[in-house]
Amino acid sequence: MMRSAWAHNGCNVAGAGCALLALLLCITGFGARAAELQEARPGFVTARHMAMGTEFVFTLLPPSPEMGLDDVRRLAETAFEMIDGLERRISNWIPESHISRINQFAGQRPVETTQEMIALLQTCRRFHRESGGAFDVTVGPLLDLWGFYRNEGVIPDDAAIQEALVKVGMDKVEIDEEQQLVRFAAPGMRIDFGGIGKGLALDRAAYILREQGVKSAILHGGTSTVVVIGAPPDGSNWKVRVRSPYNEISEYLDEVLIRNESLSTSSGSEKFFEIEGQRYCHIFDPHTGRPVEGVLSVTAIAPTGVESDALSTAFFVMGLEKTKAYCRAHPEVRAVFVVSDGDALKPVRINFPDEEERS
Amino acid sequence: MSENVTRRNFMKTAGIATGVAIAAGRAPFSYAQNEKVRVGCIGTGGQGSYHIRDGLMGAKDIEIVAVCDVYAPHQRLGQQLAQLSNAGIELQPGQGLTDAQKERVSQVPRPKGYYDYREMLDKEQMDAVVISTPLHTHYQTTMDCLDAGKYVFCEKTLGYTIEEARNMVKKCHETGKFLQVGHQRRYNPLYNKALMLAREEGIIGRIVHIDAQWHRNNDWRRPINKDHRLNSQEARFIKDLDRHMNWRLYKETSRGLMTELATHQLDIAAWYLDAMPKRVFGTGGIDYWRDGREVDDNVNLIFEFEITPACRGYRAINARSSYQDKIAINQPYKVQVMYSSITANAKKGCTELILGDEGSLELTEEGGYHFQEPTSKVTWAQGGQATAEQAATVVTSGGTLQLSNKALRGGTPIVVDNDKSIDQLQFIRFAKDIREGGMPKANQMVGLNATIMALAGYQAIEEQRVVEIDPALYTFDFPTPDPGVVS
Repeated sequence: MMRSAWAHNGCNVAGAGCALLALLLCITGFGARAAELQEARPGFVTARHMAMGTEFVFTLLPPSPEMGLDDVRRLAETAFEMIDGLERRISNWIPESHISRINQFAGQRPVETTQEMIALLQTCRRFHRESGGAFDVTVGPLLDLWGFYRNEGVIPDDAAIQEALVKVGMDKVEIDEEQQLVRFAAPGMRIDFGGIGKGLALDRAAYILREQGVKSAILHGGTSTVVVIGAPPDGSNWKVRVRSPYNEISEYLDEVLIRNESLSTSSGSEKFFEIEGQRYCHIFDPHTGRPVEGVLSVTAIAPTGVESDALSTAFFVMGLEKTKAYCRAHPEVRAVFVVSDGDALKPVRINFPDEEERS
Repeated sequence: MSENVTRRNFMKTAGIATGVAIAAGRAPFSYAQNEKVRVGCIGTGGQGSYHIRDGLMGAKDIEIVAVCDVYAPHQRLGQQLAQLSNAGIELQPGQGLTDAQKERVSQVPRPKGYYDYREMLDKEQMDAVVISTPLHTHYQTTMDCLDAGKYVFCEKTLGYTIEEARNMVKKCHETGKFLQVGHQRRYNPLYNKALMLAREEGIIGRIVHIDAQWHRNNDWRRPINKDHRLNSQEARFIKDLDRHMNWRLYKETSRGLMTELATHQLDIAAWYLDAMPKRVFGTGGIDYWRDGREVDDNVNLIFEFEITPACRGYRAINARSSYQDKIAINQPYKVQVMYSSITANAKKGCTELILGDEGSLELTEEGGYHFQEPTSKVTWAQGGQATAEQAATVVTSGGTLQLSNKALRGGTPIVVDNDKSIDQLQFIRFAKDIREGGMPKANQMVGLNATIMALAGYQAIEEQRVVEIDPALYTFDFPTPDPGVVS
């Protein structure tokens, strides 16, 4: 088909010129790129995908040394497609998502939903309980009140905060596992899975990649959540460098080694506003209805991405002392707080058993 | 007919066109600094009076010296609006003149009104004419005006037949005058910017498909004043007032949706691809507005373009799969342009979707959006041993890299800095090209090419067959202007 069109075009001189030009393009550069797709090479492949308002980056060692880029791409895309599907169900940004439907109606009546939503809500409830209420996916009305959704920060008065707090609290989300029903005890409540969505997506992606034979990979969603598979091929550990949340060009403050686990960092610098020199960040204490003050960033290391996501937020709200208490009861969990030390910033490590805690 | 000139030669000769034309006498007039381009408006009905009210009013270098319309009420309206236009006054419906505006209007002459444009050509001192008459009259009017030494702005579609449009191109060459056709999107900064972003920055990769439509939900009829009695002058030109006013609905005067709507958007396809279609097939019918009309009330077509490396719209690609034939992927390829126009549902409105392998452009006259294709990118991590350490390291500060959800889903608006209407922009350029000896972006070749596409599509539907478009139709044995200028 292409050939016949080609021959037709070749009838006149200029057409032949075009043919030559096309041929040259193929021989130089373009052809080389094509060959690369099939050629196996030692080393990592990087796969990038935009979803959930950020970029997911997988750096993985192909499961077989025979695999070319082509094969790896198809492998990575199965995970990316899963993430896209998950986003369509759990994103507040998508009006047709399962969670949007719950948010729209659960304040008025019990909403029948999927097993996935029920399980996810139960996970959120578990972290809410274990963190003494610090991790709460229902703080949306507070962010709204303080102007975070409008990008114009305001300091509300106490009465307004108390009014908003009526609409906040995971304990006011009624879950009927048997009937798969969800109901909000107070109208105007809403749930936002933004705090654990990326961790969940990466956990599932890691599962899919493992199923397909990947034994060594580091996956992250916008750098704030990292999930790793196995260890690097040289037997060392995956490294995550924690940088100052406020100074992009600074040297890193700490380097955390991980293997077969997950790491999440919550930072007050991600979204904030300043009024009269006071900085108000987007992470709220659900007990007071106010932005958390005095914490710069918290990194949590846990067995899964959902756990590290939930715990980094919870620790941010709980503060250093309560976090230490939590970690004593959970040896599988570690944390790094970035705190002010005079003019400098310093990391405070919690539950790093193999080395001396640097505090 | 001359040799089969290829696209590439075509473009080369295009560059020469300006020089030759100037040598042939199309040198700029020696316009004094404050001297205006004198324009006569032929046809002051719906579109013609709109040009006076908006575009010509906004073109400060233009003075309307006379108007012509065979229908007395339109002629009078044209005169009134032209006087306001000369005074630089834009009136909204129902708005009266302030005292200051009345004063300004009284200081400019009221253009004279004519029924017969030939009489106007004889009696008036004009540099140019603006023709906004029914399709079937474009040819004779334009030819007479070019013969009279005028620059011509003619509404689209340029020709009622392809032969007519070709003769107009020849006439421009003979007279050294140009013909600007009312493909106003060519003057729209949005369409120009989007095309530059696509072509120079490759924001949508290779254009692989174009999907355009103009959907309305109305009968496309103009209201008729049933009480109007034709005077003797009007009766010379008008036999039947409905057929005159609703000329778009009858075959004798128009080719319907193809020539009145499709032509604008097919022009965009040809401009963006920098090519002409090789063939077209389609279907249509009178299926809803069975009211005595003769042209289809719905049409659907596929235009098949072939893109060669000689087209400025050509874009080489990298192989994305090892199964792809590495040589074949950058040989000439086809792009299908799907077009539809319907008149009983307006949901999809009027848009052109330019679809590329790396993104899409959604264009309308009011605004445009760029959508990124969310395809993932997979590459070898750079280097060998030295970067194994790098590959195994992630740096985090806790802030999640933010990508706008809006940009991912709703598209990114293509922002242009422009405070003028597109009609004003096209007439400001019209005056500038006349004064400075330039060549319009929407020149006679743009008009011819759009005519060919619209009429080949019409023929495909009428005859229910695939119509081949012979390059000879848009090839001449003299240099012709470039139909693909972007700026």
